[in-house]
Amino acid sequence: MNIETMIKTSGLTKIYRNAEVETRAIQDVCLEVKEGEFVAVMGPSGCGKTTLLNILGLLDNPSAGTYHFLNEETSKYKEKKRAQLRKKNLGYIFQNFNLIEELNVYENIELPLIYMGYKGRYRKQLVLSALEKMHMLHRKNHFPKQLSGGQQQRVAVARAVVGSPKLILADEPTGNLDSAHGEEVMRTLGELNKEGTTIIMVTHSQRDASYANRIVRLFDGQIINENILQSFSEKKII
Amino acid sequence: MLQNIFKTTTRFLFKNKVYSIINVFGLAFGLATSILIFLYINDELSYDKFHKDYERIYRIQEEYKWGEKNQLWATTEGNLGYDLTVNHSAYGDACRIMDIFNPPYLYANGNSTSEKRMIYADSSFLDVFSFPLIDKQAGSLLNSADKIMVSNKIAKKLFGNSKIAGNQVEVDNKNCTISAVFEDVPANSHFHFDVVFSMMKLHQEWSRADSAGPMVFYTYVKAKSLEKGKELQSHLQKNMDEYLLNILKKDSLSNRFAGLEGKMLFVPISDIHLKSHAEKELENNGNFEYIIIYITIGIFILILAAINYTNLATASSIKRAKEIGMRKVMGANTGSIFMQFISESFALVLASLLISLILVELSFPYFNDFAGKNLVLSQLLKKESIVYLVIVILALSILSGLYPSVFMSRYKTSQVLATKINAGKNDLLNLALRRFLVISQFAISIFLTITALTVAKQLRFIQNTDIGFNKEQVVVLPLSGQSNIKYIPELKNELQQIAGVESVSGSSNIPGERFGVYGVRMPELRSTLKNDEKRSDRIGVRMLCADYDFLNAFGLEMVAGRTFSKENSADSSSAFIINETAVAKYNIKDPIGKKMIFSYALKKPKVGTIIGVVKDFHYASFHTEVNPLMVHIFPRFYKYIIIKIAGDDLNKTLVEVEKTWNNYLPKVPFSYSFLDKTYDNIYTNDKRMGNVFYYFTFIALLLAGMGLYGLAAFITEQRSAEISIRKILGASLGRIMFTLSKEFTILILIANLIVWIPAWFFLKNWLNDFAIRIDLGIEGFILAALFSLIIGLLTVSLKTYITARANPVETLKTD
Ligand SMILES: Nc1ncnc2c1ncn2[C@@H]1O[C@H](COP(=O)(O)OP(=O)(O)O)[C@@H](O)[C@H]1O
Ligand SMILES: [Mg+2]
Repeated sequence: MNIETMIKTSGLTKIYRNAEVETRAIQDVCLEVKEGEFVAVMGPSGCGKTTLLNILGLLDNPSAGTYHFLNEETSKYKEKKRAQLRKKNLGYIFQNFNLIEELNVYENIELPLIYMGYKGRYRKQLVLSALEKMHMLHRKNHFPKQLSGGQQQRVAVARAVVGSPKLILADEPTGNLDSAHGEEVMRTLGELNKEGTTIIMVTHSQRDASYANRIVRLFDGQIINENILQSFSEKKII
Repeated sequence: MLQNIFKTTTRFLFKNKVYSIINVFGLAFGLATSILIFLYINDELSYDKFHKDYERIYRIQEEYKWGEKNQLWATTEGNLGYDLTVNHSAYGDACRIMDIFNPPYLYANGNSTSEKRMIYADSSFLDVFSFPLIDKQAGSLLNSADKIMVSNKIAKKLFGNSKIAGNQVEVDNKNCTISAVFEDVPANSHFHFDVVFSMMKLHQEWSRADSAGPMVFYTYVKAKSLEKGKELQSHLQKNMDEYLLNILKKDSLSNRFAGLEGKMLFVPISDIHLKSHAEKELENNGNFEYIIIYITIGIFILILAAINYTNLATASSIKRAKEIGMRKVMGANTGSIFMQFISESFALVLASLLISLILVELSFPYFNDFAGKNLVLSQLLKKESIVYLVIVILALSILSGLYPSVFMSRYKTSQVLATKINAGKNDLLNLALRRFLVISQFAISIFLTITALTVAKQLRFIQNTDIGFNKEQVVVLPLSGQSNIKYIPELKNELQQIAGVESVSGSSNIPGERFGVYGVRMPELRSTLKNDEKRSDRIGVRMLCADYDFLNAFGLEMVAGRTFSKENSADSSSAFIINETAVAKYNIKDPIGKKMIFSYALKKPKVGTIIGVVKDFHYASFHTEVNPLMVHIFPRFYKYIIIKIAGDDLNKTLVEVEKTWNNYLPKVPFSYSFLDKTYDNIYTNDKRMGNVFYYFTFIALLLAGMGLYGLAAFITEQRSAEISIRKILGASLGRIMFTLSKEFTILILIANLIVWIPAWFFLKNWLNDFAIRIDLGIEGFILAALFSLIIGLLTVSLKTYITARANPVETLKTD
């Protein structure tokens, strides 16, 4: 019963300054996520979900507060150091897939492995198995434009998981999909979580959220309540 | 990793074909231009470097200054070279060359040839210069009057064979022995010749060649070392200073030479072609200023191409932001993104290089034609060319790739996650920079346009301005050698009979050639101005030795007195005609009847009177004012027969002329040229510069247009959402195009304003080289402005039209 804390923030705040206005995108967020958790972040549009996810995903620094990721205080890390942490530990899924149009399915999925410095033979093995898992093997030579939204998102998921990250961050992964395709992606995420990957997902959909262990509700940049759907520790003990 | 980047890049380039083509061709045009300029300049700078130890070879010249006068001749008197050989051989070898004014014909083996370029040279000729020999006799080659060296071309012409040393050849009715055959003189030599006579031959004809006398010798020295060269120079300078001091002592009464200074110049042989512009140069030299201008333009064009690339690459960056963002999300660091874009520009530059080589090869025929060169692509395999290409390619890659790389690698990772790239704030700097780039591009092109228009106007002006003589339908037959001159009277008579021949005259020069300067004496000048003690009776005039009919043949007019006439038997021995400028410059009151004495190279001076004043005509180019001129009948100096043709059937007349010629001078090959063509050659350099400017202007405008297209692409891309919304709200296509074009109009106007002042100064300066020139009006400036605006607006409208025409929903969908 020794579950590690993966993420721990306190007083996390992000302020965007423009010439005229100052936006507090998130304010004073304290959040803890343990290894193996599946957290859904919900809230109205503009409440700061993406901002929070970017900071948790080490794509951006907070304006104030601390952020411990795997026991490292990262809130002041420079881009270079964050990039190091990112490529070892994190996978990302976006609402608009963000596949590189010039690369085909196989090459898109291979890309993170290249940056991780894996050898060609090993990369191939990993990519093929990720493709297989996503049932996209027959499409490996297609370019993103030639795929449906659901297929593109499955490629994006494969790309996110191919390097076996500890944490997957998904920003409205079903936002651009119809419900059938959305279901498919959610099921995949659920399975990944069962296999031990920690997931933090932003969503508008109550149904998607039901895949999570826990829902964090944001409003105007602040957490208003945490709703534990399933007793996480309970599940783990069983 | 590299492979992956390469794939992305090539696929991106193939997908965005217009972008890639514009980029590659922009770079290729820039590179091709710079390669041509490089080859041209490389060739110009290579002059006379084929001589072994060329660094130690000098042409010795004397420069004199007194009062307002500055006299710099390429030639010296004959005693200098003699003195060097006899008394100063410890410093190095000296060699004199004399250009043969009226080259004789050569006849051997039943063939004959009349080449225009022949020289006398001292026997040290090949100790100083390195002209490779193909065949030679044993022993010294130029040590007696009957030995001559001929070029391979002549050997082939006469004998059909190069190995002909030892053979006899008839020169002007005398027999000579060919002592050696040399390779044809390479194009990059400051003087060219096909036959070398021994200086001994000159001695036979004129015994005083080694003493002080006329300045007709080109004196070269090959110093034993650079130091020896310096020592020799200061030694000669000392001698000269003493000599001048003597002159000044003698002169103290009349004070004609007050302040006389002299300089012994040692002009390095490799500098002669580009930097020497003395009186009496052996050939029309190049111009170092033009080299600088061409280098500047070459660099400009490369910068234009690089700016273009930068513009287009950053414009496309929005399309690529997602790719870059994702790469960074997945762990790519700034360095690797930077490398990605630098290698991309490197790859594009390499691709452009290939295309540019094709372009260069294709343009060689035209380029060589107007540049007067024989450039070939294989010259790029030389060491210095390869170094140049490597440097240019690296510089161009870095110059082009640097900004896009920095720009791209700076993209914030989190930005890419926003569904739309925020192009506003972050790109303001970017936009400002690109505006700056477009202004510079246009400034450069407008500068070139104004220049091209003005140069064209001046050249047109030259073409259309009255030169004071008639050059149409005038045929020039070169005489070859002294022996022919005695046939002239009969030949002339016979030619006169041919239908279509209007008049015939012997002549020492033709307009467009250099007319030699001579001193003549007019004793009455001194007496008319008694109170002016400094007044000399010597005047400097250029000389034309002509014939009774010269006025008709050249289509000249008299303003006073009369022309030569056969009725006056004295005209052939004692009549002079001068031009208006001579009258004005030397302030000759009532010139008709004044006495004149000409004594150059004559045992007994020719004394005569002025019988008329000819109206000024431009026998030299418009670069100089008309100089004082003297015309007299003096067959010894005839070099041409001038025929004015009146009839319509030029060819038939020429056939008859040739027949007559062959009757009288069977051994002398018949050749002719048209006066208008040869006269136009004096503007070869100017026309060349004109052509270069037209070409560069075209390339610059093309590149600027491309650059503008890039900026327009960038802006419309950024504003595509705005454009769509405007359209949905009901804006017409025209209205949208107007909105977007406004900015470019302003940019182009700014570019115009910026270049006006530098262009004005540059052109003022250029026009100053012409004594007779157009006024630098503002039309060129206005025209260039209009031109740039039209090109600019067309380009922008095209891009805006393409964007604005798109279905609004399509652009919005992706947001
Ligand atoms: N780069 C930015 N610059 C300025 N303001 C921003 C930026 N990104 C987000 N914001 C603002 O921060 C707030 C939160 O945005 P976001 O995290 O994207 O909300 P959500 O993802 O919940 O819709 C919004 O008010 C948004 O306008
Ligand atoms: Mg969001």
